[in-house]
Amino acid sequence: MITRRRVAVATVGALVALVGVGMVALLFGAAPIRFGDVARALTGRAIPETTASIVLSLRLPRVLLGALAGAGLAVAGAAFQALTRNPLADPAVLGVASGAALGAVVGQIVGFEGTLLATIGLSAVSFAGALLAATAVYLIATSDGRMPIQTLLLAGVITGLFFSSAITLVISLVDASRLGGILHWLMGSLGTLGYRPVAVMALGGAVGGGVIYAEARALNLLALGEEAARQLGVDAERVKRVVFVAASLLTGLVVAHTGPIGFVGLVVPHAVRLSVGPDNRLLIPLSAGTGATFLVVADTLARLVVRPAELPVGVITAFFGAPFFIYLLRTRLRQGLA
Amino acid sequence: MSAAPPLLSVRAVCFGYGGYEGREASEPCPGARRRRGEAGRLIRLISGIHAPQRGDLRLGGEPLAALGRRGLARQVAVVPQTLAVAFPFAVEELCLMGRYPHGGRLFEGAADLERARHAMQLAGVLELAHEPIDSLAGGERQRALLARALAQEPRLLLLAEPTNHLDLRHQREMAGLLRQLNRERGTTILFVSHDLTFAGELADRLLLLVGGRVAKVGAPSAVLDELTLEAAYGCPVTVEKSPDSGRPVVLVRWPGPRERQ
Repeated sequence: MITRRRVAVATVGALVALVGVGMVALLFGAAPIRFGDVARALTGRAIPETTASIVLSLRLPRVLLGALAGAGLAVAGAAFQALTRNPLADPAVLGVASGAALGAVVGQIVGFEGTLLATIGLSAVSFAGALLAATAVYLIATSDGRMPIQTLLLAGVITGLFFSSAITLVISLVDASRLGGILHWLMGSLGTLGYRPVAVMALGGAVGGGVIYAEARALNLLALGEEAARQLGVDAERVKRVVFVAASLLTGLVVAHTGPIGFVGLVVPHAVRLSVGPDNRLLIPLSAGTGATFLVVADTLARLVVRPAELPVGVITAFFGAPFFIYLLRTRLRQGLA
Repeated sequence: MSAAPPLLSVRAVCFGYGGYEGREASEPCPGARRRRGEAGRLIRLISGIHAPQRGDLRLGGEPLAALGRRGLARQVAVVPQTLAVAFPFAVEELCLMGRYPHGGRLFEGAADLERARHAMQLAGVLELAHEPIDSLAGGERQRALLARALAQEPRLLLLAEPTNHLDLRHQREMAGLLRQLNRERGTTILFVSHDLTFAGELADRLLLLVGGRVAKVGAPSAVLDELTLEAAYGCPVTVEKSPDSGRPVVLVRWPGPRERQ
């Protein structure tokens, strides 16, 4: 049985692992910095100013952003999987990330940049785009109250392609000088954004994640199908609506600041499910911790493999995620579930 | 005249899926399609999945809609014919889901676990507690679903085709278990079955549905008679008496080797 205690212990364990990996990630970058100096910078003790500034203004916000983005995408993925009763669902596969990206592109062109209010505005338009895409996929894929897996994946792919084309359209209509960092952002990267997006993501993510976690037990019951869940007392319509919106919020928050980063929401919950089972009360917090760690590691690799240049982190997650996705799809086909 | 209201009262209830009548004409085999959903529909009505288009449906004297989803789930549990579970939940986790309507928004308590284990023991799946549901054989899965419904501790238990996946021994055990629940726990049991002998053996009252309408209600000996069944099913039937219980045993009169149809 899943108890509060078990969830707490597992969550603390995942956090400790994340902090450890985050510390290691702070060591890597263009300039070599020793562990002792990183520790001193973090605790505010005296070290050369340039070193302190590299650790505190460049590397730390990037690691925090990566952790929040990874956690957000993984929890959104777990939520979409529970909602669609389908382990192959995630924000990117369902086209929700593309919707968020369109919102964020529009937001960036309009000029949401530079102030805290602008950061919040950018998150909001990205959230709106995510919600639009999620609603579209949902309406396309549902018939007679059922959502067959093939239809769902197809609807997601088509919606994703549509929104990608819409992004291309917007970009080609806008004067190249106004595109700024958009093209780089579109490749999916954690860049150097400072603490403003970190704060917005932490706050918004806590709200979205909290809302989803509050329904974790009801989400378990949805695995039995909507009819059985309702016969057990779950207000399925309300749970679906609430979690749907919250997962779109998480997707919007992440995509607004990091660009589309694929496969985290797909791979992480599935890997966690394989090791601790399908119960969402354990799956969601552990997916958050593992997703955070995974993206911090992926970003560190992205900074290292082609040093001194760096790869977009989405490349690394895709190189891990795509083969895993194919493996999942093949296993499910073989079991006759797909 | 202050008798307690009956646990379940279903009066003049009428329900059909939207647009169904219109489509029926183009169906190649309308009869088959109509029969498929009949029994399940009654269970869906009583468990509050569908609201009747006409008529009055009450539980313990209260209209179903007034009970709320959780309130209804505390009183009515359903054992479906089969259930596809999307993720590999174990039998014990499935049974703990049966405790959902009884409270605890996020976590179950020790008392919930005890009740779930008791339900598993009653249904004979305690040794399968940690097996994933999707690894179970049809009969085991059926009993796991029964255990989940028992963990719900309902006043009214609804079962769809309870003997469908069961071999003879497990059919006998199912009959014994349902009888025990009814006598000892006072659980009212309503089940839908095509197995007329099983139904006649176990039930106090039978309701014969033909083409979605009530054809006959009454004691098994009154409903399961040859004329009624031949009219309902459109085929020759023999009804004998069980040497053990004196209840009706329904047999199809199979076509002879030279007979067509």
